[in-house]
Amino acid sequence: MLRNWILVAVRNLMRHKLYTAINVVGLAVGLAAALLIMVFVRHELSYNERFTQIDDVWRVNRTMIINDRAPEATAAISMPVGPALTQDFPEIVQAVRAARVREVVRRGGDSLYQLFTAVDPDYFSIFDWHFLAGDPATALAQPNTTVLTLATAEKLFGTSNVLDRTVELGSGVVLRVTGVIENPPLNVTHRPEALIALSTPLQSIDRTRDQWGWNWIDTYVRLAPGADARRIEAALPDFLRRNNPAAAEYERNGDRTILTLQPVRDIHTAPLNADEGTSMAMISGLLALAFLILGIAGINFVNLATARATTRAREVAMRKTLGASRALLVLQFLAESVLLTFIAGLIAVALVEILLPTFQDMMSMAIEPDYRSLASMVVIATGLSFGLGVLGGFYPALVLSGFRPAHILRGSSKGGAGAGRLRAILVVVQFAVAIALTVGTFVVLQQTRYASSQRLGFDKDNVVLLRGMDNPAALPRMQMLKQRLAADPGVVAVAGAPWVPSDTSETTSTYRRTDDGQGAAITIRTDLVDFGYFEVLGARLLAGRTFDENYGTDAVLSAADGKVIQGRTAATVLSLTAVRQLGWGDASSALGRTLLYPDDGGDVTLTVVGVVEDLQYRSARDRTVATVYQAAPDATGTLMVRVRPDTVPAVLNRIDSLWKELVPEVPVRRQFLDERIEQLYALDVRQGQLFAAFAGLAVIIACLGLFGLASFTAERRTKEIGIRKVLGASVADLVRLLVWQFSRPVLLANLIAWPVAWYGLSRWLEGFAYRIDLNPLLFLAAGGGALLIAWVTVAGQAARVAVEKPIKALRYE
Amino acid sequence: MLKLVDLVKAYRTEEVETTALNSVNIHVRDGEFVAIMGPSGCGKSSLLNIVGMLDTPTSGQYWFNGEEVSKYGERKLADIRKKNIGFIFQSFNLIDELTVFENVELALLYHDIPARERKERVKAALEKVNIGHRESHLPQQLSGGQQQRVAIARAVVAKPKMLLADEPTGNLDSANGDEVMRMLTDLNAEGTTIVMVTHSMPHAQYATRIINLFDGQVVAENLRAA
Repeated sequence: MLRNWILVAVRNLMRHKLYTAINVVGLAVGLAAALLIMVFVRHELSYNERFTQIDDVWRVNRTMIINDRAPEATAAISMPVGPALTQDFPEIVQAVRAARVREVVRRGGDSLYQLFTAVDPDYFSIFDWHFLAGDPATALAQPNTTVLTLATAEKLFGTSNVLDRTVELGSGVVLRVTGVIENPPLNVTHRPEALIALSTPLQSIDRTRDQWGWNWIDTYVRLAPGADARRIEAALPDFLRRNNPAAAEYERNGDRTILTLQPVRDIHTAPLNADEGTSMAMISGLLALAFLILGIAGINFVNLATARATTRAREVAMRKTLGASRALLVLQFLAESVLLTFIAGLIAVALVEILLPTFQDMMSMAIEPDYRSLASMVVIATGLSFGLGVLGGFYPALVLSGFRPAHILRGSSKGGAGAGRLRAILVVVQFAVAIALTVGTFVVLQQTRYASSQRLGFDKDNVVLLRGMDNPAALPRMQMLKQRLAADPGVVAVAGAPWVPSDTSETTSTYRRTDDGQGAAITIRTDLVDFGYFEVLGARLLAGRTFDENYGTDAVLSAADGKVIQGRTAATVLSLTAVRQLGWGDASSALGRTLLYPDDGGDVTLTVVGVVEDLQYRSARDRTVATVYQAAPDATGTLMVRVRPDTVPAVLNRIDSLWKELVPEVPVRRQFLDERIEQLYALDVRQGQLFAAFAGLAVIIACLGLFGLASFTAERRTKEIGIRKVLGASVADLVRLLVWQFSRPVLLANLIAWPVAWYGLSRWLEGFAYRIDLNPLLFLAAGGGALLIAWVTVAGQAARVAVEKPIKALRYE
Repeated sequence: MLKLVDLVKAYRTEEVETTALNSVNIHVRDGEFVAIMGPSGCGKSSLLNIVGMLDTPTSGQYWFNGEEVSKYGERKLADIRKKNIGFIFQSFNLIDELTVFENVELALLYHDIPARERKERVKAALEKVNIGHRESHLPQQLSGGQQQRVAIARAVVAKPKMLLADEPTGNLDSANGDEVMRMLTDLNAEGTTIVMVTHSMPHAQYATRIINLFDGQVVAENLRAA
């Protein structure tokens, strides 16, 4: 029996090559796309699960609400929080802090930057990495100890056998290597390169050890089994009031800081920033996409199978006559469809093997080998193929097995005609999905391009960022460096700042109003900038002037040794939003107004000398934020160098050699501003490309099905076409007839796709502070495009039949 | 009406060339009713297809209404065909998806005729073949004889000068076959030239002239005793 089934199935597939090819290609492509997505999704869902205590470990997150700014959540909190938490909450078993510091490492006469993560001694009881050498219990118990990953050990020493060897930092601190751990796998959010005992004296850490207001490190807490995280969260506002000396002042200003606990298992799938993981929304979107594509391929399968049912009618009739039950026939046709989907599944696995490297590049993320092994893909592909085969095969099997043998064998009934309406509906569904995906893709791409080019408020091109100016070795030579750079003919302007646009860090300060008679406090983002800062960035000045060294009184004079200096004054430049927020009307009416800035050394009166257009410090997902600029030429972490576009490579060489000459102790670290900004949109770009690729596939598969249906219909209607020809229809008339028949479902599909896409995309765009308007033309274009593709697909088939001589069709049937 | 001079039709396949019509000479005058008879494979259908301009001859001349059409292209033939010739087939060749009315109307759709006039003419044609009461039925809902009557209505609704019938009674019982033949005779009496291929001697007797074909050649022409 089985042999007979397989024989019939294989011969059928071989005989109807076009049908088989369309089905196999469509299914294989659909399965490959779904397989890729499944591999990716499984990988994304596996994040952090390798740590044994994972279900009891939570990360402490912080949400800030300042003025009328939208709440901002971040994992950066201050250093005292962790220890205070373990002290105040018995159910918090341990708190592990992790601070990322970039340090210069000396190696022979050379030096290089190394990223360290400074952690508490009991770090390894939460992050139980596999130790290749050393003892996790004691490795970081002492200051000046470090644990390296295998890769870092090999990078620094050229060997993995490095226990008890030393690493000398630029600051002179000497670290002893007390352990070597595995290289962190890819599906982990916290991936250190080298660990360092938090008790080690490091400048960046020491200055913030007791600072409740300096939020920059990650803190993970392990709760006692059965402890209620929500109950702890509810007690955290009181905890802050008790411990943070500045908490009362924040609250008076109307600002709020909320601490929350996030399961470490969820960090990757509920990222605080879009670029730190893959949100559940994105994952479910991708899964939906996978099933839509599979659905489209499955619809092809159902449509072609039912359309071709007539060709199998005689076989069905004969089998029934010979005693086959309906159940047995259903089983036979199901087996046939599963055979077909398995062939497609096999091809899909091969396709994915070939495409995976490109896919990983496109997503610019690597997938852990376990999750992309051939074995794991075969398992998924088998499941998908089987499911698709059974689901897609079921309806055709019912139709085929339902034929009445008497009608068929007498030749009076043709069967299969009843499924025509279903086929039309399914084609409508297919194209609706394809059109909606196409519109979505265009909108995502448009928004991405818009977001990365609009509203920056500055010229991002041709700006070189020189990092590491705050290094103690570099700082004393900054003025010299600036002068020498400014003298370079390829350099347009130079200026420094602690942070530049695209750095997500920010400082907020509390100011007091002088215009309300009460000295009300207001918290505003503060940027300390160099003279010439706005000029280097090409920011637009709306009123007044920018900071100028020649005035002499622009910068805030630092109070030496904490002494209070009375009556200090300085200049300030405001962003337009700051002017609005302060209620000072337009740009020019803000000039000359004053704010009080409570500095450590006493209040400073800041006078507004200029107003600039808002600068976007982050991505366009966020609104630009009110900013008060203060001139502070020494508070520099990064030098911005605007270079002439035509001489970039030469200037870069000169910058490098100048740096080497002036700051030989520290390696040069430079970036391009535009590239940094592009990185902010990298995920959006990737999403756009991903959706574009899969939407394209969906359209192709849908058209493949349409092609199959068209060729089948043209074949089936040969007689009709012959009659029409005899009655005087021209080839053009006939092509029009067939093309119109297939245009209707596509036109109908538009009516479904448009509102759905409109709704979905509006929701997506709401996530952007600055967004494009949905353009109805785009919807028309996508629908028109689909129609055009459908026409081209069908017209060829129609013409082929239409030019044939009618007698062939009309001879005795 | 039509004159065939030394008409040859040869079919070529990869291996062999078969001659379906070998130097056929036939003259049909306006208003004649000609029956073409002969065994299977004698070339009857080939002849009818060429006469109906559904196919072109390999060589020889085909004069239709004083025009030599054997070298005409597809488009020109289609134009002459739709203005002058109506077809009736053994297997009726009605379109399953269209109603009786729509099937007949189809023959007028490719002529520039306004909808209102189309409707009148279709109704008239259906009345003429006594099938008017079934105009909204689908072909499958009709008997063979009824279907053939619809096919005749379709063939004549455009008022062709010549009617070509390819074994019009081949799929019908004798009662229905006789009915169809009476209709053809009536049409002929009204002036329509008819060329009919048939196997049935009794039905051939309705014609004014019988042409016998054998192996692609005319072997006998008999004028029916009037």
